[in-house]
Amino acid sequence: MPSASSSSLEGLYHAHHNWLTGWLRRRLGCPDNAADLAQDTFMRLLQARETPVLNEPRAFLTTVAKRVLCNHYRRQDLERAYYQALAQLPEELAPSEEHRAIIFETLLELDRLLDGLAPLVKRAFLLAQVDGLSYGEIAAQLNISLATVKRYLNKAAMRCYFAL
Amino acid sequence: MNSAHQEFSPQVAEQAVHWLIELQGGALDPRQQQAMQQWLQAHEEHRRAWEHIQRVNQRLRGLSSPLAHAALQAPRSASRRRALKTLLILGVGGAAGLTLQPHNPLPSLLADYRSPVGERRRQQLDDGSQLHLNTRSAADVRFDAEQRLVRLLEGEIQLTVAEDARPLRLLSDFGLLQLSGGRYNLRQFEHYSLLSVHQGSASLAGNSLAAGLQARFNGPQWQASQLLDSNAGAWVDGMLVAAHMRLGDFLDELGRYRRGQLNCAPEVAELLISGSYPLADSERILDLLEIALPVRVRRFTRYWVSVEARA
Repeated sequence: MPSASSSSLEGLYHAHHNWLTGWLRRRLGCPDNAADLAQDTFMRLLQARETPVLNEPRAFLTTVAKRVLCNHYRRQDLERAYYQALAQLPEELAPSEEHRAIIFETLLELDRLLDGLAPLVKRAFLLAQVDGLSYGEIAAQLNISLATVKRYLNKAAMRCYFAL
Repeated sequence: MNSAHQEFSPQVAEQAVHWLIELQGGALDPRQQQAMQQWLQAHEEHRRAWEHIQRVNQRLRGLSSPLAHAALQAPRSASRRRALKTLLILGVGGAAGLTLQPHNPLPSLLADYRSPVGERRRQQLDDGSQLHLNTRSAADVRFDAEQRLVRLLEGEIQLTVAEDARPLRLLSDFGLLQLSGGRYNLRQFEHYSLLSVHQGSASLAGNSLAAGLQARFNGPQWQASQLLDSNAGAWVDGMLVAAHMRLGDFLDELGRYRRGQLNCAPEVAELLISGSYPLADSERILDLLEIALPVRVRRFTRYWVSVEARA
């Protein structure tokens, strides 16, 4: 049965929401996060372009939930690094309380978009778009050629601007 | 603010990125400049892709350099590696063919709406719908070509849904609703959500709730459905409306709009109160209580207030 209709997703939600929350709770050992991540999982499904045929809805749900779980762990890693770096910033350079959260969310999204690219590619991109360095300066700092700088920036830009 | 899902063909994306890289590399010569102008004007999608890049760049330039470098070099912890590994091993089941939409490129972050304690926010959405956020509330909005999706993260929203061919789905912690054009109020409580239908009709797992009714849910069934409460949605007009409300409940409501503790002594909690109170000045509402009821308002600090029996 093709199950792209809204009713099947709603059926999936109501039939398995509690089960999925329990599954996540066992993995995380934390009820609050489990409820949030279960919602995130359904959010991703609702945003998915295609809804697959569901012979085994729970296997399907856990696969999606595992991706959500990966993002959750990555968020924790990023949070740790972010607040460590924040603590080392001189007070006059530290962003305001309100901006901290916005900057963090932006970095999290950026990290996801650039995920899988080589560290040097990411650094080149940050140096160009965040620090505003010229290609010559980036080449010197990373010890790579100008042509490589351009190639790296192109790669990262396709991901960052277009998720491609 | 832009919450529209941006769709660009890979070719246009490549061309836009090409021009960005060229431009950032230094000034274009006149021939290149003309070529870029022609490209921009050749198609509406070219111009939109270019503007999209500029918007993302604005966000990137707002980042703090040391924080950005530190975060993007964050090492991956063992737990995540483990999760990834199990994903690779187990992820080839029935859902292997599933392609989830990639994360929206950066500006979609702006689709998250939030209001601080004591403030209300109003937001016009891309389809003409109106989103109001009550005190300490947050919602995500994701619209694309096929559907409109709103998620209540915390607090309370009122949504005036514009008619549209795409369905509007509203997700709370306790269920997934489908809404027709109309006006709805959704509030998140600790163990359930409460939906009020002012106009239109809402469907929960195929069960509908008609205009003029409100009901709770924490599963596929509506519970305790009843006629709209006189206070339902009054906050949008900045009012707290009480019709024979217990003082204890009234102060709980009022407390949502204030920082700190607002306590009610048990001996006065059952007193009844009626009237319309402007939320803009909750201190004044407390003053009015002393006139309307045999109570005394004790302010230990600005953030710690108790309502007690008058001695």
